[in-house]
Formats: sequence, C-alpha cells, structure tokens
Amino acid sequence: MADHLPPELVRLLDAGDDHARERAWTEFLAAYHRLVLHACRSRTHDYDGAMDAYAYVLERLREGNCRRLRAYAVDRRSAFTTWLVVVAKRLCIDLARQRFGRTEKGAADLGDRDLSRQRLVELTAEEIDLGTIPDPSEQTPETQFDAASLHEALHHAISRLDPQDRLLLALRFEDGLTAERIASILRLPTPFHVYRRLTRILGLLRERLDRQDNPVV
Amino acid sequence: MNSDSSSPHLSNGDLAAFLDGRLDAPARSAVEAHLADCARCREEMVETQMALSELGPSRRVPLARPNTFRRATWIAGVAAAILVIAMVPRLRQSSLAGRGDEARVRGGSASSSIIVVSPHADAADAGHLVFTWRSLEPDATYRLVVTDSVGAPVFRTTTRDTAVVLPAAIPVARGRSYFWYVDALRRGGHSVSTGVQSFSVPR
Ligand SMILES: [Zn+2]
Repeated sequence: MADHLPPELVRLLDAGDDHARERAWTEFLAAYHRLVLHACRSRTHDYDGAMDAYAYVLERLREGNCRRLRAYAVDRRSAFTTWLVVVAKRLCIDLARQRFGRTEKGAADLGDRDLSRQRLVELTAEEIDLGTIPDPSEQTPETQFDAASLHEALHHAISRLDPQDRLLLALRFEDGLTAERIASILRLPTPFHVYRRLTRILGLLRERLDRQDNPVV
Repeated sequence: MNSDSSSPHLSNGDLAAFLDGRLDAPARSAVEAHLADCARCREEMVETQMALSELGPSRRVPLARPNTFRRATWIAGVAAAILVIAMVPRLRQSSLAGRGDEARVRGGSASSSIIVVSPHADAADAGHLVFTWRSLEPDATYRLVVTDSVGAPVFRTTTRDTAVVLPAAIPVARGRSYFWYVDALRRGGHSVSTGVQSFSVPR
C-alpha cells in the first residue's frame, strides 16, 4: 500500500515558479530539517563534519529539481520519514567515503571483522571432526591446505543457506553486530531468537561440511 | 527489486521499505540476499537502522542531542566558550568606544575592525536573521561564523557580500543566546574582525 505524501512535499513538488519553489522549500525544511540533522549527527563525534554533511544533504535533495524527492513520490513503499533518513544517511556515508576513502566506522571495525570471520570458521569446525583438524600453530603445507579447503567448503555451504540466514551470519561474523542489534534489524522478538537461530545455522553448516567430508555412497 | 537508477546497489526505496518491514516475501528475500553479499549496502542499512532506532516509531527528533554526541561536543563547547569569554571583555571595550561610523583601530594594530550593522544584540528576529556589516574594501572576502551559547558552530559561510541571511534550515531557538563574528583577510595579509558579537532571540 502506498504511503500518503506529506503536504509539504506535495507543495514542493508542485511549485510552479521560483518564488513558490523557494517558499515551499523553506516550508519543507521547517518540517524536516530536524530529521535530516539527526541523520547527519547520528553516530558521529565530528560536529563540523556533521554540519558539512547536513549542507551537502540539503544540496543533493534540491538538485535536479528535487529528483530524489520525486523518486519517493513515485515509490512510496515506506514511510516518508524512513525514506528521508535512508537518503540522508547514505549521502553522509557517501561524503565520508569521498573524503576519507572509507567511513570512520568501517575502518574501526576491520580488525573485529577479521576476528569474527575467523570465529565463524572455528565455531563451525568445532564439532566437525576435531581429530582431523591439525593444530593451526603448526604451519605446515598440510595445515595450510586444510585451512584453505575448510574456508572453501564453508563458503560453499553458506552460499546454499537461505538469504536471511546468510544476512544474519554477515551481520554477526563480518560486521560484528550485537545479537540485540541483529534482532531489531531482522525483526526478531528478542536477542535469544538470534542466538537460537545462529545455533541452528551453525548446526546446519557443520552437518553440510560433515556430509561433504564423508559423502553417503 | 525496484531501482532508483542503473546502480547495482539497493535503491533508497528498497532499503526504506526493508527497514519499515513493508516488503512482501520475494522482495524481502531479494533485498536480504543483496545485503548478505554487499558490505557497502549493509553498512548503509545498519547505520540508517541505528539512526532510526534512536528516534523510535514516532520518528520525532528529541530536543537534546544523543548522549554520545553531547559528550563529544561538551569538551569542544567548553574550549570554544573559553575563547569567547576571553574575547568578550575586548568586545565590551571596543563596543564602549561607541558604534561610530569610522573604522576603529583595535589593540594598537594598524588594521581596522569590521563595523557591525545588524542584528541588534537583544532584538534578533528568529524568523529573519540578517547579519550585516560595513564593507572593508572592494572585493574583500568575509567569513561569517555563528555559534551557540557554548561556542559550538551553528553556521559558517564565506561571502563577498556584506550581508548574509541565516538560512531557514539553521535552527535558532527562542530564548537562547548566540555568538557570531565576521572576519576578513586584507590584501596586506592582516586579518580583521568584527570581534565576537552576541544576539539573543526573544521568546
Ligand atoms: Zn549493494
């Protein structure tokens, strides 16, 4: 069901001349500047950077005769406020990528991300066949081969999971998000549902890896 | 999937509908599959979801900033306020010298200060704030900075004009005080300023 268009947006998109457009833009900002500012300020400690991002977002919203806002008017599958925060936040991240190559958060999470990915391999390998997994501290060509083939097999097994399970693994093991955050993104009732689901997915992966090691003849 | 452009990434509409839980099962699955494989869209989705969850379902922006931000600006605010306080006695002195029409000589330096025309310190109109000053010389470039009462910048701009209307998008609260100043670099390399000025917005 399409959401209704806020009146300030209707007036802005319908404005016939420069004067009307200017007035409608002021009116639109009066209604939504706090939301845009919030999106620019959220999760940053850099006040000046946030104010620069705010100016950048307003400029982008206005460019091309408000083409982004017009895209919402055609789409309307979400609340306008959700859509506006999505656009503002993506533009802020874009600006940060242009300036710094990557976002503050992305750089800070990189270490965790690698650790988390390693943790996924360990968690899945834990119960597969402990006897056949060599001690990783002994770097022999054989251990390197085993680690590489385990990664490859795991990658293949993950690619066969359903999309929501793959997303859950990525949020947990690549991005290192908390179970609470994942629950709210995936609309699961509690963090325990995330843990339960993770246990089920890891069990499934182990089972598949195990079957691959010992195929039924 | 609906796409805003020819981009291989999720459209704003897809991402917003996903976050609102408005997609049907096949569309949701397609978005989840993209998010699982695309770290870029995933980062954007997670950051947006965090910003939205700070607001709650009403999407009403709280008057106070989130704690993390307030703490970070607190130190910067104090630092800026110290600077402002340190400059205020000088401002008072120069203001006491009268709002003459001639350029004033400050602190024994040869450079004159920029003369303020508006806004009036205690009668600023929140809906129509215009900062005006006397021209220093033809083609001078001026930098206007407006800060809140603790010295955190609210608005900055560079102009060759001698008047700036505060954009409607910049929030100024009734009953609050703000500081502002304009500075310019003269041809000889001397910097000239209005000194820190203040105005309060009546309730
Ligand atoms: Zn993508």
